[in-house]
Amino acid sequence: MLFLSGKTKQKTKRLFYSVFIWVMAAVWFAPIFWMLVTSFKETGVAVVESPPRWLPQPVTLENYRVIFTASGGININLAFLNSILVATISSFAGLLVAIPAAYALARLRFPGQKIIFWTYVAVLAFPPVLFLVPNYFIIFQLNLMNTFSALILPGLGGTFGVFLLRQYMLGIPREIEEVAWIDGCSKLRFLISIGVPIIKPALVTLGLMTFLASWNNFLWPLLVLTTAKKFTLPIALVRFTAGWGDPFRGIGPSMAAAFMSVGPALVIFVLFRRYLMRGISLGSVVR
Amino acid sequence: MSFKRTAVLFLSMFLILAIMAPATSAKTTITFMTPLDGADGAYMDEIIARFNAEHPDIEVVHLVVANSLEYKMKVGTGIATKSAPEALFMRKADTPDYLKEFRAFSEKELLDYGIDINDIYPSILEGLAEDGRVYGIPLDCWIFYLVYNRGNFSKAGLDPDRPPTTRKEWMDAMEALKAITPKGLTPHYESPTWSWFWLHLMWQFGGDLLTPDYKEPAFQEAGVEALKLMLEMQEKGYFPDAPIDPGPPFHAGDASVLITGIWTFGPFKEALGDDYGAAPVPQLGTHDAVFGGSHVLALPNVMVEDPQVMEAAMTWIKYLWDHAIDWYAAGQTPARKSIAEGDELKNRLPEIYNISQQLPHVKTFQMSPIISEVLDEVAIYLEDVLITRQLTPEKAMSLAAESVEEILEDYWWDK
Amino acid sequence: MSRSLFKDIRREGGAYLFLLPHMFFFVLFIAAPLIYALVMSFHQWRIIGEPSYIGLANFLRIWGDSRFWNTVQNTTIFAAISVPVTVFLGLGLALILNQRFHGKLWPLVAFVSPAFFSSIGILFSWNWILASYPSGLANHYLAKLGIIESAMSWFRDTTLAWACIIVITAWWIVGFSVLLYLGILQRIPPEQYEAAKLDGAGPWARFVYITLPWIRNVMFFDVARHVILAFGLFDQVYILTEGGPAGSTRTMVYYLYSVGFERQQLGRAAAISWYIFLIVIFFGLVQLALLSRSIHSAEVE
Repeated sequence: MLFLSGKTKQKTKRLFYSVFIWVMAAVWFAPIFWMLVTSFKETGVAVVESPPRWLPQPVTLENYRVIFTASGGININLAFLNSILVATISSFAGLLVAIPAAYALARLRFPGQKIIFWTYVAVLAFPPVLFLVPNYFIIFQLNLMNTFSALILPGLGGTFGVFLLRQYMLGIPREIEEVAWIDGCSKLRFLISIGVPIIKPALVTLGLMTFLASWNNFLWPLLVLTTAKKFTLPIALVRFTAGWGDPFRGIGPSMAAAFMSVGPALVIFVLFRRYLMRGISLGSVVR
Repeated sequence: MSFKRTAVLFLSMFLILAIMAPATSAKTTITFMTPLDGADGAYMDEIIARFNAEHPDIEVVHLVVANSLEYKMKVGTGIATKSAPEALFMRKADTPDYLKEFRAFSEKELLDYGIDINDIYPSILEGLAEDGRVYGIPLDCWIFYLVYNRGNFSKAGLDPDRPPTTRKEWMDAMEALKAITPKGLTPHYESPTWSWFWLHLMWQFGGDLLTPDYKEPAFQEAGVEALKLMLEMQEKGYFPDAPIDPGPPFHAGDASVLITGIWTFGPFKEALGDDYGAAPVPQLGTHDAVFGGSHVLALPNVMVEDPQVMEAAMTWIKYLWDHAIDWYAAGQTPARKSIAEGDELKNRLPEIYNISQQLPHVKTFQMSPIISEVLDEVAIYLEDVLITRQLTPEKAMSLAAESVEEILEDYWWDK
Repeated sequence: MSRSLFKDIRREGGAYLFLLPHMFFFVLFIAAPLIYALVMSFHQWRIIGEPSYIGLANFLRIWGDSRFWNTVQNTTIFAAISVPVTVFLGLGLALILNQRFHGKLWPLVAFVSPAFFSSIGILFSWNWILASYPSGLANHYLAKLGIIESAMSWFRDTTLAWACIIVITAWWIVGFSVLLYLGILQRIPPEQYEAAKLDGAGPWARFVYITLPWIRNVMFFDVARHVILAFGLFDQVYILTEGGPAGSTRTMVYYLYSVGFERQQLGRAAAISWYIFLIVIFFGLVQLALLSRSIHSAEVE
């Protein structure tokens, strides 16, 4: 939107713009950076230093050590792996289930389409905590207590993802579809080979959101899991992240725990950034 | 990342996990759920580790859930589906809804385990026993105490070995300390939004939240006196007039006094070192009283039907009972008279021994499930007096009483 | 073009097959619990023990509880302010980040990553940043810059407390909106903008006639998402203000937790949830109607 004539003018404009964005980003990110910095400070030092310091003095790994060696029979490393497993499967399975449903609601015609779509949207208006206890007893009746299935399956019914993907799919140009259908391409093949690639940024975003929802979920796994071997990361970390928020009781480990719980998500984000930053250019699409 | 690669990735993770999963052992596992976060949890971890080492056929797993609501949900849903933790370390105020679901012991049964229920202070045991059956065993009492900065006391011209014990001494001390407190802070830097402090004062003025039958509010008069005292402290600059975060300024030595829970004992002692002073709370009202809470040991009935599990759980409980002083070192006072007045405590933890002498007149939350909601509702009106300054103490307590009456009516209508 | 009946049925049937996997889980884990909850709302149930039928009592008691309506008011005002704020902020940031500049990835991480953190970590951190004593980060820098004269308590009065909640919430959740909008903005062919510029269209016109049609569908989703999050506000209040000062930041879900779950009265909790549902639907429709009206009027101009 800022095209100007003159290459140097363009370059300088871009430079200023970059600086502007970087400054904004730095200020915006400051609280997160503060979290990170604090996780390398001793609580006793962190809460009393005046003025507050951005470079820990002294730097300490004590907070992370405390978290990793916390025992009481709950293995943090195992919990970490459990969380990765559950969150990854939730993420993929969620996409697998939501994509065809979203396509049906976006492009296919069938009786009840509108009703189903608006029902899916409407149920989002219920406070999520409402589903906790009924689902708990459903899981109990299905004999799935203390299993990872109990952590993964209920999320697959969520309508948030279907809603999101449907909106993105509405933006798939109809011409492409018409062409494909005339050519005899089945709906399914169209969806897989053309539809999905077009909405890749939405898939990555949704996959990430589902991953995080599963990763950060605390109360549900707490209720449903009973053996320590199966505990997920939030359960193992809650002794550092919970309490009554008085910083002096342990802001160091608290911030370290917060970072630990975010690491994988950031990694995924960086790994999949290509899909987020570059959509498919449509131009003239002909098969 | 290609689909194939990701599939391979998590297949391999799954394999790693499968390999890492420890083989099933012949141990009896006791999940011990506590609300102990932070350093408290670490203390309990150590005790558990020692127990596990000494008892190879039992494994106690420490599940920490600090938030009362989440704790109660776990207990409730667990009992309904027989998947609750086998042993609970529960805040006494959270127990009323579940007492009848816990294993009841007779006095004799407990004596066989070496647990003398009569050794416990009556006010701490209150509500946990009925008709000779004990549903929960209090292990400790987190009582209020006076923590102060000895260095600041000296600087202000006060004797650090003689902290205030009466209202007059308290006010005088505050005035002296005010002179050395930095601008923007107060000598007693506690948040006025902390309703437990008001509750403590209200008890010191002889009131209680509800009548003994839990059907009517009973805090109005004493509540007004407590509020008036707090207002006076605010006006004189001894006490903040907005929500604040108390820990760090005290930690840093800028604030000088706190009337707070004994659980802060360890961290403050470590932070203040030689300047650390701890004493029983001053009596600022008309009645001898001090706020306290307790952690109660309990076993859900449905989880200990198996005799082997029951034995294992009781072995753990007995161990805790016998090694209780190890736990008190975390910053707790004993629930038992014999320990509180005993030499072992005096020698091992002299400050805690000193503070424990308040135990005879400790007051705990009344054992009604509705108590926390009542206090939360009253807290709104407290803030209208102390922070937003919309109401006078009399008006606030009167409105609060009306509001509480509505809550009580709602609670009792179908019982 | 002739199509056999068989093909028609295959077409229609296919749609249901596409829906089936999701629908299965939806019925089992969303619809069934909701029906369960509807039935429970006419009962008294405390998880342990049997439910007992009490008719409309739950609903009537909530209707007559002034505490509930206070929270409705608080939540509605919060939503009315924070939804536009977060939607425009998300869109604005996405537009800014959609330009060409150096080192694209890292500013993106900066703006988006707060959304990755769980509420506890974020809120503890902010609670500490907004600490009331002079060495609290916010107090320290604002005093240094002369914006405030001395350390202050950030939750001392209602307006300030709400302002903090709105700012922190926006800062926290805007990340995903940015991703959503970027996903669409990246697809808009630059030629369209170039052509419009050549036609003499200014930035606003280019936004309305080119950008808007592309993002409209996603914007609908984004607004719906923010409405739902706003009416579901809980964590920030619970951790930062505990509903204060004097209960003025209590929200509907806060009420749900304290009167439903704290009291272990699940029938009541279900009934409260139904009230919340209706209120959210109502206001959600209002905000969406406002949105489409303003988009429509912008296009018509």
